[in-house]
Amino acid sequence: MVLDNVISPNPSFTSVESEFENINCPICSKEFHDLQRLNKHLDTDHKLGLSTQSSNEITSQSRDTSLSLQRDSNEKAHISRVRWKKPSRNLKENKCHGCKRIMNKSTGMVNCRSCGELFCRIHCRNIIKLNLEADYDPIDGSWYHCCNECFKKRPGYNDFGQVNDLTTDFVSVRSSKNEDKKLRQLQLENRLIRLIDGITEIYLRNKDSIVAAFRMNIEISRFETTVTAWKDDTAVSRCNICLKQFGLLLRKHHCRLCGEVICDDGTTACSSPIPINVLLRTTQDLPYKMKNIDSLDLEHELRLCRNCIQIIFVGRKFKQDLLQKKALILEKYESIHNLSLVIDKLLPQFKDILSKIENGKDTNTLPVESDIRELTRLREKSLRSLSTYNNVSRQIGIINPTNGSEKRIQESIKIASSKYINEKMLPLKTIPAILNPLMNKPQEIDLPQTKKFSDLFNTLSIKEIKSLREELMVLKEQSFMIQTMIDAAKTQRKFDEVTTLEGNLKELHDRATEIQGKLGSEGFE
Amino acid sequence: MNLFNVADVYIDRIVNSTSKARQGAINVNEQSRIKVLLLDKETVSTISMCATQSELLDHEIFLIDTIENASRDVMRHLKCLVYVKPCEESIRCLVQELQNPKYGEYHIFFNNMVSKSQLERLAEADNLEVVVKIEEIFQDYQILDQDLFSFDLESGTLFKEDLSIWNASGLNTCVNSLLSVLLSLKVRPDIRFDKNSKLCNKLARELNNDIEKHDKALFDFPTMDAPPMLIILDRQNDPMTPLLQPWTYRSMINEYIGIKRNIVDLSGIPDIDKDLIKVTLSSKQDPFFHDTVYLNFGELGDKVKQYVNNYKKATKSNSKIDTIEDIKNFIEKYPEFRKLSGNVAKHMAIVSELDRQLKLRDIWEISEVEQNLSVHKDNQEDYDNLIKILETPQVKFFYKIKLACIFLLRHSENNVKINQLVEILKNQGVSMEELSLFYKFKKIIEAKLKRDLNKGQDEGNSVDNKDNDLLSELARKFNTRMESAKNLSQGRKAQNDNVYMQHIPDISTMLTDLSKNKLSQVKFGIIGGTQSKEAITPASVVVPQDVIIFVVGGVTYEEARLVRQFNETMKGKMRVILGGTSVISTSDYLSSFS
Repeated sequence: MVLDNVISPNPSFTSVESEFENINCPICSKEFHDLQRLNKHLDTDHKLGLSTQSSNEITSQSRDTSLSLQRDSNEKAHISRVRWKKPSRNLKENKCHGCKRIMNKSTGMVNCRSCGELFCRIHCRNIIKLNLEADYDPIDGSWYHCCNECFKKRPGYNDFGQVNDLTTDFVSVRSSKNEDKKLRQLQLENRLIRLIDGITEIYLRNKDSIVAAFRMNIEISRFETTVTAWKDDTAVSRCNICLKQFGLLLRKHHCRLCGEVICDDGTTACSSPIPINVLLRTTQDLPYKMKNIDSLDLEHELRLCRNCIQIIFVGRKFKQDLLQKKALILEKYESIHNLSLVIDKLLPQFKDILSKIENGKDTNTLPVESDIRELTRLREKSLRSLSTYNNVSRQIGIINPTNGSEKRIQESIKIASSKYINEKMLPLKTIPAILNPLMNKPQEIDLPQTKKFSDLFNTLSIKEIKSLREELMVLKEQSFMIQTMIDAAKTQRKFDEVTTLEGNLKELHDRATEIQGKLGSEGFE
Repeated sequence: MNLFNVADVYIDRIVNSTSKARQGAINVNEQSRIKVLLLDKETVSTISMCATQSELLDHEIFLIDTIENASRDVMRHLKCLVYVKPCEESIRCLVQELQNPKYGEYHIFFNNMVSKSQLERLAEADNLEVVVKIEEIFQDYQILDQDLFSFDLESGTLFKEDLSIWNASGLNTCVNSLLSVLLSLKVRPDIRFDKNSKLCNKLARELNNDIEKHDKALFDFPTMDAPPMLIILDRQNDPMTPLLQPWTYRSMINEYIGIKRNIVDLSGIPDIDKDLIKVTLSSKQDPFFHDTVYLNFGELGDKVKQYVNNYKKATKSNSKIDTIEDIKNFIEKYPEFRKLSGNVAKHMAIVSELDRQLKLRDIWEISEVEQNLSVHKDNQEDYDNLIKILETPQVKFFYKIKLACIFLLRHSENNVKINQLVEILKNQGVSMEELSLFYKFKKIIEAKLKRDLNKGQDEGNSVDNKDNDLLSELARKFNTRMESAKNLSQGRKAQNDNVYMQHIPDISTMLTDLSKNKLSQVKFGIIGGTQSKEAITPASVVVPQDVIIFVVGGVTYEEARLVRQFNETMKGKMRVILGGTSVISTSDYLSSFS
């Protein structure tokens, strides 16, 4: 009798019934108005009543007329009960593991078949497939009641967001493709070296004689064909790149590197003549015999097709760009970011101490002197960092963006940084109010800046000195930058800009003198 | 099974993308921290519906652009995150971008599966090896709510031959998007589909083929004891629901103003404040909207009133700033305060516009007749009311035709009355073109009814047990509640039952059947999933715990409301997510027949 041991594989959710006070048979879903009738139905129609009733179920509540208990008594012959919690003798201590209320006859008391905790009937209504060791087994298990926790803990139940990383596949395809391309590039580069070396040589040989100029051009042309085999142009009727028909208006040309026949249409830019000193300058990494021919009066041009230009120069340009200095905005943003790291580290420390003091307030204990000093110190430090942050972000705001993207980045930074300042400033602002009533000697706390520098100096740790020095350096660098901007603005006659800049400069100066004062002899000048 | 969580996971994955340090001369430290986000037409709305600008700013995404924009500035020090749909156009743009990269390194994310050839094209283009990461994530659909998604596909482009057969491309898009839904939720479901619909049949089979194709690679999820289920329905099998005027907040916005990908265009309102011309309504970001999405117009009125009062109280307390303490409080609350005031203005504008439209179009009267027609059969009084509305000159022809369609749905055999209605419509000056809509509708529906009838005779006992309908029970409770709310707030139409929400969509019965494990085996075919290997006997089928319902031809917000209610009732037991090829209003639905 399979049905004796497990809940029917066809259960219906009991909460539905509880909403509308009707109960469905868990086996055939027939509807009943009360438990007695359902029980009778189960006994007679499904023969559940005939099973052996070893009803030493949980303490004295056995033979609860409820259905669940009836089932429990049938289940336990098979499923492991190792994890089952035993109910306490003191009935007041039997609290549902889910809702924490005290369980009694009306609430029912059931062990979750999976974790074994005790639950009232309402909180042990989910179903789960378990094997006989009471472990989750979605394939061969049978259905048992379990608590919501175990229900949710099933692997895969709360899992989402599949991703599929294709990077490795992509890289392997790319590297196999790029091997061929690298070979091709090497070949073209070799040809370029030979061409340029050869041409400079011919030039040097002939440059002194005026008569030779004409001969030289012929010689160069002949030389070019020896480096690259030119394609037979009589067989070609269309440009190799844009596929346009050649004719009177569209002349045939040869690419000096690959030898293909292409047109010289300016709109498609299938090919373009490039002066060889330009070629040389942009490919300085190649091993030419003569590194610098600018001094020579050589004005020869090489016609290259678009494909060859792409292969040889685009990558070089890309790498050069990467090595160039970052845009000013990006650079400044780095310093903002570093400052924000400092602030993010300071604030939690600050909050810890603050909450410590506030807790003390609740219990009417006076805060410890050292805590207050520390709090003041941290607050001051954070405020300082924030004001530097503010300064730098303002500097970003006045940089002239060089293109549209920079302008938009600038605006974004402005929004992000003002949001950041507002967010971080709030807890710091409210502090004096919290501290004041606590303090008997408020001057000491509220006016830390007026304290004698020597006092402060004594409290400076090596780390602080370091950070102050760093800040000082940043400040100096910034004042230098602003100074140059002021000079630039003056030459461009933008005087309204000058005034704002000068304001900034003054701020920076003040701050720098302050830090220098604090550092005293520890300063590095 | 909360779609917002899915979106968060994916957005997080994109914005926090990191890569191992690149080999070669370029040091990662040289790169800026600032990131560029490149999107395409599809993903722009995916992102904007699930993340706010400030969330992106927090992750140092300071530049957002579209991949189609070829005139972007070159900024080689920036790191670029690309999030696009793997469609031909975006791949082409991406190839161009990689051939001449504008940024220093690229992290590429696709919102669905990429084909091998597409990957090869990208590899071919990436001469400079700027791509450091390529990943598929699966969100090729729009998330409208925690339990509602849409593919935003027009019915016109999906089907042919009287909406009964798929367009090849439409089917393909649909299958792919549906696959991404399943993958994003990590389910490999049993697929149930409406047997009476060719569309569902075809979609289910295609989908199952594709799941089996990607069996090992993608759909390798832990087996669940109660396997998840995907149910594919056909809009044509419940044509009544999308024809009736809706009465809950979001569906009314969709009906009278239009809400597209969470954006509401209020430019049609006379004298609208210019800040309010385009507003965003997202139940994720707007708590008020979250609470009111599925409230009916009466309850909504109360809520708005309450909201405005709260706001006024806040303004009053903020207006008296005497002490420094007040200033401090004000400044601290200021951002929230400003947000609140914007929100109040927004919802006030929308609700008053809805009210205006209702009066303008005589919706109160029309809807009452519609609802009565939908639930009563052969009621002379309803018929007389119908005639009265049809003969009222100021009622728009659209509503008259719609009323005729509703009558037809209920009384398809009563040719006399239907012809009578057509005569009245003609006399009212409805043009032949507009009338052809009605004839088209009639043709399609009658063909369908005939099919159902034939099937019904074979099946005999597959009659729905309406008495056990959990949600109609719920709806009844809900309606009485609405009635009392409305009596209080508006004092209109004090009748025993809420006449405006009598009709209950078919989906409600289906959900109830599902919760009792009584989903008709005859009506719904089954295919695929974990149990496909063995023969499926009714006894071995367990009550599903996770269900995704997909409606071919568009879903309505009214159905979404029922699903939400069902989810709340079944909390901790069952989770249902609803989606459709689109979310439709009455006019969307009716015009799909033309």
